[in-house]
Amino acid sequence: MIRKLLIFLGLAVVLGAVGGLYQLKLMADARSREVAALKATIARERDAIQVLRAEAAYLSSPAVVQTEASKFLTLRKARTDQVITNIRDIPLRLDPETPVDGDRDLIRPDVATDEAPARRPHVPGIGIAYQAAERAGQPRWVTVDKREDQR
Amino acid sequence: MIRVDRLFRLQRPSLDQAHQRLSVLILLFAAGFLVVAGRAVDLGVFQYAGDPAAPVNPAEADHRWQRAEIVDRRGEVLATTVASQWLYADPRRIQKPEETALALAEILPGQTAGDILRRFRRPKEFVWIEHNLTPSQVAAVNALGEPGLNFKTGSLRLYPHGRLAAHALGYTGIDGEGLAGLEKFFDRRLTDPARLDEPLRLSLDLRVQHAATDELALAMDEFQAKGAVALVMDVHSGELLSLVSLPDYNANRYATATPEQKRNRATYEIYEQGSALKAVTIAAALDAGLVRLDDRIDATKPIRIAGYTIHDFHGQRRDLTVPEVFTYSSNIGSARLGDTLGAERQKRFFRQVGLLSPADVEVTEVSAPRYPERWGRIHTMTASFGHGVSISSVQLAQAMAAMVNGGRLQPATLLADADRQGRHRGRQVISPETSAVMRQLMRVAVVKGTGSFADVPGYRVAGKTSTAEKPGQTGGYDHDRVLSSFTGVFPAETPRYLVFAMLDEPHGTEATYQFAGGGWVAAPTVGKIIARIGPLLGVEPRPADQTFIREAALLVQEKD
Repeated sequence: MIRKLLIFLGLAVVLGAVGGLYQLKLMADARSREVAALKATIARERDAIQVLRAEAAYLSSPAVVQTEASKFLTLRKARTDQVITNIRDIPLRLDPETPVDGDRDLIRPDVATDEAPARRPHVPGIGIAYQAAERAGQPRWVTVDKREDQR
Repeated sequence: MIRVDRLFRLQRPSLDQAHQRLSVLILLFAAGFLVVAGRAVDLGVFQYAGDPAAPVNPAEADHRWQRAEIVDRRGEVLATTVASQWLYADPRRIQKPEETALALAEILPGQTAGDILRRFRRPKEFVWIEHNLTPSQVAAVNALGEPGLNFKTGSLRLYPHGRLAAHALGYTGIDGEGLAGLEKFFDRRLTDPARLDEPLRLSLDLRVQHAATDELALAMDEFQAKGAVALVMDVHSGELLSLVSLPDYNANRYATATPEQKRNRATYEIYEQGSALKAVTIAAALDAGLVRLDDRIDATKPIRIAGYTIHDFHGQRRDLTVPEVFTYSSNIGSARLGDTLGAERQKRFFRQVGLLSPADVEVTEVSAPRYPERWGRIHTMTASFGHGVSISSVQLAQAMAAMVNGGRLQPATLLADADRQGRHRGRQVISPETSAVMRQLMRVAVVKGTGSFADVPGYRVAGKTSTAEKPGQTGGYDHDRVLSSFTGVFPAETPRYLVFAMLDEPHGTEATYQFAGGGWVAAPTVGKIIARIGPLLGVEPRPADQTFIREAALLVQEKD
């Protein structure tokens, strides 16, 4: 009786081990296929990133930007007298938290439309300049003529 | 129940024997299965060698190659490698050869229908039609719905900025081999598997490169010049922030560029650069202590020697001080200074400042300078004002930088500091004191002399004009074909950058009163470049310091 039981038990163990091993093998195969698929995806993504990098480099190429700017913006080459060399020369705003309302003026009137983005980009540099000016010992409130400021 | 043993009258011992034999057999089979099971575990677990079904697309593997990126000093991509589609055909599966060939010729510029059709008729399974198709071309080919057409993925070297810095970068063939410029010079570095992810960082600054290219192209157009060169160099490190050679070409379409466009005029072309070398002559004479600034040099009449006559363009017809020789660009005065220096000393100094050996710059298109083998008295005199010695513009720029940067010759380089790994070490060629005097002389030449159009308010430009007549076809020099250049440095008191602009055979305009000299065509170009790059490079504009040039300026008597 015990012998029969042992044989059955042995058989069950062997079958279980074989089945388990096979299952493991299948799982491992599935995983490795997943890994291969991921690797292929990564390769594809890398290719796409390279293309986008090249595209971004092209779109931000100085020659391209210059052409576009001359078409749509009123910006011109900077003159040396426009370079401010002292932080004290920066005119201060009444309210440094308000975003700068200058973008519309930069677009050439003959190409400007009303479809400009509703939200104006915030210019972070101004706040920093303000703080720096304050530390440099300037009076906190300086009245600046708005038109003068925008020019 | 019928007992088997009774039926066959089997004896007990024989039954035992059968049992024994059966056990042996069972054991043998069990052992066999154990071995098989063990081997299975061994193969599946211990010797697992990866999934053999991993997708290895041979078509993809075949035509892909890797190459490290090239970026400018600020990390902007100048050259990168992207996947591209190569079109091939299986002629046996082409359904409508004529129709497809016509449609393809329409999609692919530079291919004729007849040529494509001939390839369709070849008894092959595989013919290339075209490499590196644009995405829109791929879409158009797919829209044809021709089952015999197919794509393989290849690699394409892309230069996003097209013309910008094309001569420095060079270009890469369709199999990923560097064919010109930096791409060829650093071919091994760029394809080194261990360094593929590490971009090659150049000294070039894309913004400066663009500003210089833009202004130079305008000047070349205005003065109808045959070619032009612009260089921007850090005078202390020798790093080139810009290297422009015009006419240029789009590096992405190098195959359609003409030799004239591909020629690198900054490193490959050598010219008799003219008056700029007066700076070198004067520096050598001052440094050797042969002359003092206030010495008078006889420039009253032309020098006749060995059948040649040395004239002055801006003739003063009197004795000149050293600053006057420089400011009024006197050939006679320079020739006399060169003569004082002597052939041996001059040749040695020229060699020291790198004028007699090819520029050690990292492109493959570099020419060796040309100079007289036998350096006689006449050669010494002409070489003093830049004739008889042909050098590249990069050589001139690095020598001029050494004149003003405190006296160290720092060879020109296209690599950013970190990448150079001590490749170049400068050496002292003149004393810091002589260099300080040269800065003054060059500033006076702008304030009072021929280079006045190069000045930019706030940036204190110093420099030297050059107008060199080119050697004529029949010997002697051609008065109508000149090479006009200006070598500027700024800011004058403590120079940081050198800006060189040269126009090859410019023509005067009404605005320049038909003059085509360096002071008229090249100096304003350098001024415009400096006005644009000064703010980019963080050079602080400041009012000019007149006291700085006092020593030299007082020795220059204004023209009547």
